[in-house]
Amino acid sequence: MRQRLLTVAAALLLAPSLVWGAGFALFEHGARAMGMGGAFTAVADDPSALFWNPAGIAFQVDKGTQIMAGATFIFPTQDFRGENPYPGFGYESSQKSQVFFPAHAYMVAPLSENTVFGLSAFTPFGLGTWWPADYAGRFISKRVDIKTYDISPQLAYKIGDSFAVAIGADYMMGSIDLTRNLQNGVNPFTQEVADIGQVHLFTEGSGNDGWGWHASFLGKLGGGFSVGVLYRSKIKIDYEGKASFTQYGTGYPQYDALVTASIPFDHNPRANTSIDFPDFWSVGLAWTCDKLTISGQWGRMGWSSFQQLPLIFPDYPEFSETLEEGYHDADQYRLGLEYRASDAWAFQLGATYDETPQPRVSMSPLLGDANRTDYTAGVSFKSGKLFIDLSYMYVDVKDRCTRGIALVGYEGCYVNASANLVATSVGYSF
Amino acid sequence: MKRTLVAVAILALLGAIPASAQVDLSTYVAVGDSLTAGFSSNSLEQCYQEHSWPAILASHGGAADFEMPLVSAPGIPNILQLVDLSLVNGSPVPTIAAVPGPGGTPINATLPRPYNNLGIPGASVYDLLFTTGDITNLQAGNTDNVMYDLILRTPQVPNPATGELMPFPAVVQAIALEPTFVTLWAGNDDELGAVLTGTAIPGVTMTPVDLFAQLYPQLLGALASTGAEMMAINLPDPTKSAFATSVPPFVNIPGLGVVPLVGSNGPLTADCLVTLPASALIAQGYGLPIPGSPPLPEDLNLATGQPGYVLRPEEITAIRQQVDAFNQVIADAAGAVGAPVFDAHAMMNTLVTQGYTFGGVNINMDFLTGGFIGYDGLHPQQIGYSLLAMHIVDFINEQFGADIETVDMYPIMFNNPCLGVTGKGVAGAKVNEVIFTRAAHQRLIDTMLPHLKQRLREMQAPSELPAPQRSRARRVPQ
Repeated sequence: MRQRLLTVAAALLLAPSLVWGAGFALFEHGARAMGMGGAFTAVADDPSALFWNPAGIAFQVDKGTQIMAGATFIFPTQDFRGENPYPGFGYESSQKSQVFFPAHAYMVAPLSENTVFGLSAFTPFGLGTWWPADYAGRFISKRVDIKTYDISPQLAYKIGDSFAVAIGADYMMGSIDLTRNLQNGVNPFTQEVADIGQVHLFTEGSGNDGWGWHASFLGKLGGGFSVGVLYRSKIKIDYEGKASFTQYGTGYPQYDALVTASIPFDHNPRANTSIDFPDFWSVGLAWTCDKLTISGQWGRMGWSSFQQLPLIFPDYPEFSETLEEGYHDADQYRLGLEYRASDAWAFQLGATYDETPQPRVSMSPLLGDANRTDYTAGVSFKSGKLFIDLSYMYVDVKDRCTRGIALVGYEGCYVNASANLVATSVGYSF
Repeated sequence: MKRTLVAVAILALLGAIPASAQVDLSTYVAVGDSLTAGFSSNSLEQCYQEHSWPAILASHGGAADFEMPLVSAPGIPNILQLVDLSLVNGSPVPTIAAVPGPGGTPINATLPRPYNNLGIPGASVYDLLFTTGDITNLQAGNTDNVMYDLILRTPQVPNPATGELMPFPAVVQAIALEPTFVTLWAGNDDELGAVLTGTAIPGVTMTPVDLFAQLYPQLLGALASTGAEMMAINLPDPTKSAFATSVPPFVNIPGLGVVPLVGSNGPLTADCLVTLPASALIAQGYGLPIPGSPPLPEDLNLATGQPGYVLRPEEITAIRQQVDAFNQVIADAAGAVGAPVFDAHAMMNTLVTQGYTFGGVNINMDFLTGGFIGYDGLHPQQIGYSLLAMHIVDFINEQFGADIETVDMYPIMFNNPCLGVTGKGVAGAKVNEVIFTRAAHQRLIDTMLPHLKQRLREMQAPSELPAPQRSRARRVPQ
C-alpha cells in the first residue's frame, strides 16, 4: 500500500512545474500552508511541516501515521513591452498560456513518543517561460522548463513538551529544457539577421541530481506563542544533457550549406550546465488560541548562489556560453491567519511580500522577474481521519523595466504579470 | 474659479518656458568623409544615403529638409554585392562583385543650395577646407573628381561682401547654410591610405601629423564661427577594420600544412595584417611558399601606384600612433571650441573585441556575417549605420541634455531596406568584375584616395621621398 502510494506520488511529481515565487523558487507545497500565505514555519501542524518546519511533525505524534498529497495548479500570465534600441517602443508580446501543477506528497510516521520519521517529496524550484515562436527574443529563449524534485527523509525529535528539532537529507533531481533559435549574425547575401535553426537543450534520464540537508527548530513558548526556525542548505546540481539542432532554410542554398557544415545537425552533442540552488532561512512567530492562529514570518533565499548559468558543449567549445545572472539574496515576509470555525471547518487568509533576487541587468525572456505580493485564502475540512484543504492565491507581480541595461540586449518592461494558483491537498491519518 | 485661474496661469508660464535643454537640429549640416556620406560597399547610393547616420539623426532630431547628394541605384561607383559563397576545402570563399550595368546618376543635383550632408567620400581635412567640385564636369562624363563634382557642384560663388568670386569648398558650403547644428567627422581619409595601400608613409598615404594639427583646428574653427552647436567625432583605428583583419597571414596548403605567406620582404609573421584584396592574389598563386609563386606585394609601388597588401607590425604601430595623434588634435581642437567628441575609436574597439548585442544577436566587425561592415570591409552597411546613429543620438542626448528620439535597431536588423540595391544575392548573375582583383582594388583606391596619383607624380626627385616608416629587414618566421 505504502509503495503504491509512493508510486502515485512520483507520477504526480513528473508533471511540469514552474517558477512562481520570486526568482524560481516555489513555496506552494501544501494547500493549507498556502492559504496562510506560507507563514507556516511557526505553525507546522500538518504534514506539510516537512517543507516549512519538519520539527513540527514531532508535535503530531497523537495523529498517528499520516499521509498527505496534493498539487498546486498555477495559471501565470506576463506581457512584454519593448523599448529602444531593441526590440523598440511599440513592440509587444505575451507569454503563451500554460498551466503548471507541481505536486507534493508527505508521510509522517511516529517511531516513538518523541521521535517522528518524515518522508517528503515536492518541487522546490521550477521555471517555465514560453514566448511565441517568432517573437523578437527568440535567439535568447523561446521556451524554458527547469524542474526539480526533492525527496527527503527526515527525523524530528521532541525535547520535553515544548521544543522539537529536526534534521533531514535532501536528494534533489532536476531536469532542464531550453529552446531558442539560432543565428550567426547576418546572412551574408542579404545583410539581414537570419534564423538559421533552432537548438533544444535537454537533460534526460537520471544522474542530474545533488544532495543537501536541512534542520529546523520549533518551540512552544507558552501563552499560545510558538517560534520556528528553518534552514535549508544550498544544493548544486551538475546537469549532463544533450543538444539537438534543427536547421531552418534561409532561401539561400549556399549560405545554408555553410550553416550545415558548421553546426552538428546530424547528431546530438553533449551539453552540460550546473545550477547552485540557494539556501533558505525561515524564521516565524505564531500565536494560537482556541479558534485562531496568527502567524508572521521572515525568510531569506540565498540567491547570491546563482551567479551564472553556464551552457557547456564539451565537444563544441565554440557553442559554449555563460549567461550572467548575478542574483542577490532576497527577503520575503509572510503573514497568515487561520480561524477554526468548528471541528470540521477552518478558514485561512494570508499575504506575502516576496522580493526578487534578480538584478535588472539579467532580466531576460528566460525570466523577467520583479517583486511580488501574494494574497491567499483557504478552507479546510476534516472528517474523522480524512482531511481536505483547498486554497487560492493571487500573485501580483510589479511591472519592471530593464532601463537600457539588459545584458542580453533585450530592452523593455515585463508587465501585467500575475498568476492564479489553486491548491488542493488531501490527507489521511491511520 | 480662482483656483482654475491660477492653474491656467501656471500652465501658461510653463508653456512660455522654452525647452531649455533642447538642441536645435532645424538646420543640421553633416561635414565629413565617406562615413558621413553613408558610403557603403564601395558606393554612394540613395538607399544607403537615406539610411546613413546623419539622415537618421536628422529625421529623429526634426531637421527640416535634410538634403543629400542622392545617387540612383546602383550608385557611384556601382555598389558591391555578394554573388557567390562556395565552400572550398571546408572554408567559405566569397565572391564579391560590383552590380553590373550602367552606374547610378545624381537625382538631386539641381538643388539650388548646398546639401546638408556634406560628407565627401575620400575627403581629407585639407579637401574639406579647399577642394571644390563642378557638376558640369561630371555631366560631361569626366569622373576624375567625381565625389567633389557630385556633392559640391559649384566651384565658385560670389563673396557676399565684395562680390568677387571665391572658391566654394565643403566648409564654405556648410557655413553658407547657416547651420544650427554641425557634426564633423573628418580625418579618416588622412590615414586610411596607409591601410588601403599596405604602406604607411606620411605625406604619401597619410597626412603628416603637424599638417593635420594645422588644418583640423582651422576646419573646426571655421564651422564653429557659425555659432551652431557642434559635435566632433574622432577616428577609429583602420588597422582593426575587416579590410585589414579578414585575411590571415598564413595559408593552409595540402601536404605542407599551415605555412606563412611570403611577401615581397620575406615570409610574414603572425602579427602581420594582410588586406582583404590580397585574397584574390593569393587565389591566383601569389605569396605561397612554393617554387614559382610570386611574393605578395607588400608595399605601394611609388613608381606605378600599384598598392601593397601587407602591414608589418612596425607599420601597424605607426598607423596607430598616427591615429592617436590625430585624435589628440581632434580632442584639443574640439575642447577649444566647446564641442563634445563622440568616441568612434572606442566604439570600433568594442565592435572588434565584443560587439554589441541586441536580442541575443551580436553585431560586430566580422566580415560578411558581423552585421556592421559592408562588402568593402571598410564602410558600415545599413545595420552598422543605424548602430552609429543609435550611439550618436544617445551621445547628443547626454551631452546636450537633449531628448531626441532614440534609435530602434529591431526593424533594420531583420529587414534590409536596401536589399533590392544589392541585387538580393543574385547567385549566378553575370560576374563582370570580382572585387579585390587589382583593377577593383584600384577603383576603391581611386574613390578613397583621389589624390594619391597626383602626390606620386609630384614626388619626382628621389631626395624628396619621405623615409618609409619601417625597416625593410627581411623577417624570418619563428
